[in-house]
Amino acid sequence: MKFTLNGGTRQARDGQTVLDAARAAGVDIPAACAHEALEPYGACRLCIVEVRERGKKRWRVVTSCLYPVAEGLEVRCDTRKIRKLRAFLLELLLARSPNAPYVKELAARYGVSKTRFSRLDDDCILCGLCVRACAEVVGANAIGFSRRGIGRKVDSPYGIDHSKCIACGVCTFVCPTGAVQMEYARVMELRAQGGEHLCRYTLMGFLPDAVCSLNYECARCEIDQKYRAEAGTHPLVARALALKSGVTGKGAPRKKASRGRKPAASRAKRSSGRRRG
Amino acid sequence: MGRIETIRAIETSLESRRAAAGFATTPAAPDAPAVETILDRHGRASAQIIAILQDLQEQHRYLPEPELRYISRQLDVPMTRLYAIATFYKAFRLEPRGRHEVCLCMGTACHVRGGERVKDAIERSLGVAAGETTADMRFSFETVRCLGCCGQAPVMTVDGKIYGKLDHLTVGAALESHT
Repeated sequence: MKFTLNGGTRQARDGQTVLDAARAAGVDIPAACAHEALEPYGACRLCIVEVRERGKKRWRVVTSCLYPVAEGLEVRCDTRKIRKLRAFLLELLLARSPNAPYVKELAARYGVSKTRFSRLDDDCILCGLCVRACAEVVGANAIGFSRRGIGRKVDSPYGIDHSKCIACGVCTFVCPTGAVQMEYARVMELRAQGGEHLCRYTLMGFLPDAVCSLNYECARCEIDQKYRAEAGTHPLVARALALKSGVTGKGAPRKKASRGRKPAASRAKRSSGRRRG
Repeated sequence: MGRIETIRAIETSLESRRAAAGFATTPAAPDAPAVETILDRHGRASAQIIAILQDLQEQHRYLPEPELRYISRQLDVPMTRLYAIATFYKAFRLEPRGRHEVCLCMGTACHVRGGERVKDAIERSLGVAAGETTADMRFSFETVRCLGCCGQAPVMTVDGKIYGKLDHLTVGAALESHT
């Protein structure tokens, strides 16, 4: 499928989003809430581009992470209008998270260094990466959003219920601003529950009791670091990516001594379609 | 083992370990038959979750935690999702409510006719602020935007019954009649 990107003709696969196609063509579009292992979400709005469908006159501003490429679609990524809109969005983000390096850096790239809005000083930009990673990558559903509008925040049910958290750390891994941190207390509680420690690799298959016979604290876990170095990403993210690209069973690092477990592919097939509430 | 079963297995094992280690586990059992009736009425469809929660709230005047957890398990809707819905919509409440619902209008007409003073009087006589419930669970006090009968301003409703032309002296008697 052919489409036009900043004036040049490019190839795209059927069903690809504009963001993916642009990135594949080497054009960088900033996006805070997009992650290769997760479904597109369209929360941050930073990935806006101008598009014109074939046969249409009007240019429209759309979020490229949600917009599917179509035959003959024209895309402009870096027009003055887009830069202006994006700068405004960054100004809003900067008002919310004035101390988050990620936001500051991104804003600086668009010439935004100060904001006209009152500051909130909350590092969470509500991109939903942690919430979606917890649901889609891990399947634990330990955290979600609560309340709405200016009160919206990432929360566990009733604000204190962490019974679903497996302490896998994917949320802290995907968080762009460092707003999500593992509660040390939670890790300690899991440890206090006895020798049968459920580690973050539980969902990659039960790793029965082996992992923390070494008595690692999760933050200093060597196995964790080894897996991460091997995969170049969080192991659970690596697994999700592998499942997504269809290369089942490969890509996701697994413990070598599999002790009669079934291969990861048969165990962890993604449930069909997206979860709907 | 499938993905769902894996998660279930983890949950079960986590829960039993929490209990063994002396940590609080899920409190109080839900009234399962009553919840089942609601679920069946809506075809046990997770798409009907808001209607289900509305029915549940009608029964209890709020959304009790054990019931929510039961629904979460039965419909395979994560608790995070239920909590998100329950906190998103103002109509849903997670705190127990009083036997009588007091709604005082804070709309323009009622404001002009001294609604603010009536509010103070109610808060003094009940000993709670707007949005709260008295300790004896007799009243829940709420301020609303308009009750649609501005001619009677200032207006409040108690369990839907309208009390008009209130002032700080008459409001107490209106509340007293509800036990």
